[in-house]
Amino acid sequence: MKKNKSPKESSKKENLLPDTTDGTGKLLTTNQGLKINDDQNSLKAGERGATLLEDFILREKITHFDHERIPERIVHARGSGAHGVFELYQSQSKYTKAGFLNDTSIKTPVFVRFSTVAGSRGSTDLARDVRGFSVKFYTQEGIYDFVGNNMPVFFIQDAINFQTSFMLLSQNLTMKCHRLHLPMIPFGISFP
Amino acid sequence: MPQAASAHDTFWDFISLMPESTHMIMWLMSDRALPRSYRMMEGFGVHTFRLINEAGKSHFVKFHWKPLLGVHSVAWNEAVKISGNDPDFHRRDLWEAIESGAFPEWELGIQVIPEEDEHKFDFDLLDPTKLVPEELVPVQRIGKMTLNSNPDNFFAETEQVAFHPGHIVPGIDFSNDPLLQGRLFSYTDTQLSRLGGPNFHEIPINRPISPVHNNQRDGHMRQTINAERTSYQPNSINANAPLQAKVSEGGFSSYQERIDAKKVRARSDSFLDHFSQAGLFFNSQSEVEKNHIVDAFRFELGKVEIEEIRKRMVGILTQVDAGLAKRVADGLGLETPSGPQKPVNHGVPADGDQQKYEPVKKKSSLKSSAALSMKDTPKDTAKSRKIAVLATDGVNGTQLNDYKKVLEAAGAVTKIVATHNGHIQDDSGKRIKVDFTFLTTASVLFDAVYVPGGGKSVNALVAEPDAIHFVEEAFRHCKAIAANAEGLELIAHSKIPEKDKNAAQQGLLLNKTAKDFEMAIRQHRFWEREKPGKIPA
Repeated sequence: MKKNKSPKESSKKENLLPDTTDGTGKLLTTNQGLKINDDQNSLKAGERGATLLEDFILREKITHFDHERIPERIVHARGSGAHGVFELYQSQSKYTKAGFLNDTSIKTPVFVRFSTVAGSRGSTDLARDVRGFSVKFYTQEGIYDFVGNNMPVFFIQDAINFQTSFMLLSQNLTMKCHRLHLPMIPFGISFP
Repeated sequence: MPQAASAHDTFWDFISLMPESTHMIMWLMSDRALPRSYRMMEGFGVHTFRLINEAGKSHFVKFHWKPLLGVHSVAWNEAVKISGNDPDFHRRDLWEAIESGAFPEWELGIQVIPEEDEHKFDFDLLDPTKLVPEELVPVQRIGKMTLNSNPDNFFAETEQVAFHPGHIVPGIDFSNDPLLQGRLFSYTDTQLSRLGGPNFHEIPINRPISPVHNNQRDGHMRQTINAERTSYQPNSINANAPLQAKVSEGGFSSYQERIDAKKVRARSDSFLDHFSQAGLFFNSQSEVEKNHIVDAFRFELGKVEIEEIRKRMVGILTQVDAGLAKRVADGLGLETPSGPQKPVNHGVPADGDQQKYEPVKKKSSLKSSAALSMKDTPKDTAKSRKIAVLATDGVNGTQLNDYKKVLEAAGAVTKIVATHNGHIQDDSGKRIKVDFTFLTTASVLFDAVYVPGGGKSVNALVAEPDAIHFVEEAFRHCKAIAANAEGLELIAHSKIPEKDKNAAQQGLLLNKTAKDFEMAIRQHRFWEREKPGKIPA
């Protein structure tokens, strides 16, 4: 269900529109825009023959599929996101000159990502874990990222202890357990 | 090998040797680590940042997000079961709330500290293992964030979004927190490898809505077509454009912090109080929250195989709270030590003086801080709460509709859970769509349970062990339960103790009104009945 939004409020969504497509009611094409007539059968040397290397449609489909995954985040791999808007109650010019914290008429678009820390991309949401809480503000002066957690403190005081995460992982790896319990990678960039 | 819910020797080995982690561990063992919903948790910037005003004056700041639905958590036993019943529980909850128009909201809070007050506290503002108690610096709520639209494409948006604490705008700046300083490097580094090159800022979700002009060119997957001839500065061919922006034009200028120091690899003495705020956190919890923390430590350390690590960790807990250490030790079958094993801190350089790294406990100016407990969080709405209505053919349609109307008017979501899929017929023959069966859902996916009357319906439920288990489990997890007329039979057939069976103030509402039920749902949980009301479910 799409709600009506004021133009300012939806400006990031509008910004995404040129990159958004919807195939509803459209014809199937290759990535080169060529309309596809048969997406069910590969090109063969005879009905019962070997498949031909020439079949660029088959090769494009398979090649794209083979490359669809990117490395998941070392921490905060499991995330859920949403768009929204930030509205200021009162100018904070006393403290800051940031435009989005000065002008109460500005509705700043945001994109938020919540996450668990330790689990992989397909792990459960309900692990005992820290939750990432990150907000991308699309301000008129550029991006402001709030990259936080649902807990106000952290495990370590100095970033040089980040790397220690791999020590903590190691037992699991030797046990062939790739599912982690707890935010047991407190290090690494243990923020989303 | 067993996996998933088992704590590791390696983790607790490290934690028990690094006392600076103690405060965070208290949060992690608390119910804060088991949110009911992303919509019902706080957010924190963790580090101290700076706000810079037009005159160039700096204030230190801590950022907060305060959820308008309050801060709520589930029980550990429930979390374990949710993981099996619906591993996407939080993701689905967020999606469904937004789709239904129940937009999640948070207020942005700031704690502002004048620069001249930097050293007024009994902790160091640059230490990310410390919070600034709200009693010392109140949180000012300055604005509101509303999430009102789900992503169209998970990969393009949620997966490819790239955050970085170094993305700031004029008016915001960094502190010297040594964890933040490392993060300022780490995020770009990790995005380069994860997103495959230096142009990830061009991915639609990462693109600013303000214009981008610079002399950077090329690289993997470059999207921008730069039409100008020059890609360097100074240049005369393009009148030196793009021009650097004056501060008056919005150009960013780093805060000019005065530095007068030796270059050292060291830890400040002001970072050595590892236990005072861990104790403050524990002291601020309600009895129920404390019980949950004790149980969490018993579970986690109970999974640790090397006894030496368990003992060392209990030793650390003596520095947080003697009662906590004793209860955890009792659960583990250990003697309660009189103090931590010495030396306490093992995060010491090769030539470091061990004594200079030992934790120092300062006298805290606060005994407890209300904001650290979830006990008094807002409980003023049933909005977006999920209610299971246990009903099947022959249900009392009038009762069901009365409750449904009141609950939905309050913004709650009701779902019919029946013995079969498709439709059921109420006692007047009206067809009602079934949402779930006892096979396709579980009590742990709901906030409350309602059993309307109707002899035939209730008889069928009484004959269904999963229906009885449903109310028993909801009772164990301290949820509001309501039943009317014949519906009481199902409660009678459950293990819910006789003495609890008309305790409206405890969230068990037999033959009460729908409004009473709605008020009970607002309470989130009736944790006080947890210990005495623990039943096998």
